[in-house]
Amino acid sequence: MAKGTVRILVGTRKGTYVVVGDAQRKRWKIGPAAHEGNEVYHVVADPRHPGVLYAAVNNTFWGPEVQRSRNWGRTWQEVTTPLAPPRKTRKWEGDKEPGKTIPVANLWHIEPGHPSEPNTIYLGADPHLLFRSPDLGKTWEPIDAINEHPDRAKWSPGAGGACLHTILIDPRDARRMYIGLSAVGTFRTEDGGASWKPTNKGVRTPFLPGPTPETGQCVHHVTADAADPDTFYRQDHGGMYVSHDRMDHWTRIGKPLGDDFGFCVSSPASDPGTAYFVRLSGMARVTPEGYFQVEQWNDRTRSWRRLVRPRAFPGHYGVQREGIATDNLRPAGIYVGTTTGQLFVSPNAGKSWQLLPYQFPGIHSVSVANPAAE
Amino acid sequence: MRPAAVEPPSRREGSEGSALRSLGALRGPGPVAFKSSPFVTVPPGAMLEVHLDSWLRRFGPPSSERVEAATVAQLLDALEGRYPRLRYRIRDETGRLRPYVRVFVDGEDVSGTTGVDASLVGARSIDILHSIAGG
Repeated sequence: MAKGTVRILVGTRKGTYVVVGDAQRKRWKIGPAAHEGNEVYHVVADPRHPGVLYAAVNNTFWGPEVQRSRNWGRTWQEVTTPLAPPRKTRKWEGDKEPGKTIPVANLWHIEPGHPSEPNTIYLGADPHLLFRSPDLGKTWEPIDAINEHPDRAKWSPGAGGACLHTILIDPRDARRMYIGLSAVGTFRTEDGGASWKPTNKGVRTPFLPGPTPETGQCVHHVTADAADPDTFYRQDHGGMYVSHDRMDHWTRIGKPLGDDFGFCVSSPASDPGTAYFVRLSGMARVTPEGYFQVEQWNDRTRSWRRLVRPRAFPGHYGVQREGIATDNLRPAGIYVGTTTGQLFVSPNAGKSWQLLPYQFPGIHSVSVANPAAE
Repeated sequence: MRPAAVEPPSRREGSEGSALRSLGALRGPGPVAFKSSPFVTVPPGAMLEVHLDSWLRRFGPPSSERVEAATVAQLLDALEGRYPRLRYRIRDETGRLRPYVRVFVDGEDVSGTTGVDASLVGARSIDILHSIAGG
């Protein structure tokens, strides 16, 4: 029987919450909470440093902050927060005054680096910015090859802003990374960020005229398969996709579901070849048919299964790009946070579901600190 | 549920003492590190009473502060020099006031007009507040 503590890290419109549970994922306790009144877009545990959490805290009035806790969220402090880097190219998307620095609007995603680089962390921000810290957030270096990408003038922001929201590192090679930018698409680097190749072939752009471009796809979130680091599952504005070749080609898998719009996707460590998506109505951006639902993609059988019993949780729920997470236990735990503050938990890979009896503020992000990280 | 404590300023890491939050300020030409207006001479004796929002007081003076300045930009430079944690909270890295910050000079809101360039010559008190927004 699995032992240890599972922590669900919840970033909300009004602060950070840590939800603490046992390895059976039956008993949960809410707390501690922090960053009261702040928009927290992402909270993540650093598995290389047990107890260390990072939060992307965005204050409406006083600007963004990278915050860190060394004690599982009991206390937090600001580490250095990166500023907009010097502009090198003349024109960026959304330029009102070409050449003038555009300040960092919001911090979107913090990614602990590869295990071989224990002091490296990455940060994705709006406007479409990627930063790397070589010293756990003390200093930040902008990654120019993406921040100053030659196509940048053609990029545009999405409804959530010009966010760089997905950062994935190949577990076999710290130099191979993948990123996702709203309304721009995905890119891969093989050289630690010195150069980036767009990787959007096969992803449709129904919101753009003409043939499918190399970039301009509105990726919402991407996750890697736990057993096969060359396989990725993608929730895009244009549907649900899989790639088996390091994102060189994408195949749309969501078509059998009808409307395969959504924002989030997660693949559990204990169940390779599986990905969970929360399907939303493309028009209303809430769960269709009036109830909470999660779709399971089985990449081995190339088939779908709906996990939540129809009408078990009636309502129209919104779920954002960081709104689903899975743990590394067997069977996998699945955690889904909604824009109206519900946190759904399945301790058994979707067989049964529980709505935690706690009303959170609107949830931006859910992630998991696994027991192995303790 | 009790909110977790935010550690006091003295325990904050990073570059508080030097007020550097960015690599732009640490390395390279650093055009993001904005500067005060060097051509404005501060009239002697132009002491102003500055009142900060309760939220900002966590990072700045606990009560009102007396500052000598001829413009809002100079006033903020002086305040940030004394209280480095205020840097980048009232102004962003381009030197502009953040969109939901209001600066009142003797009761008049200058945020949407002259902003950081507003003259303080002859002024007596400054209020720096956050605007009514959010939900």
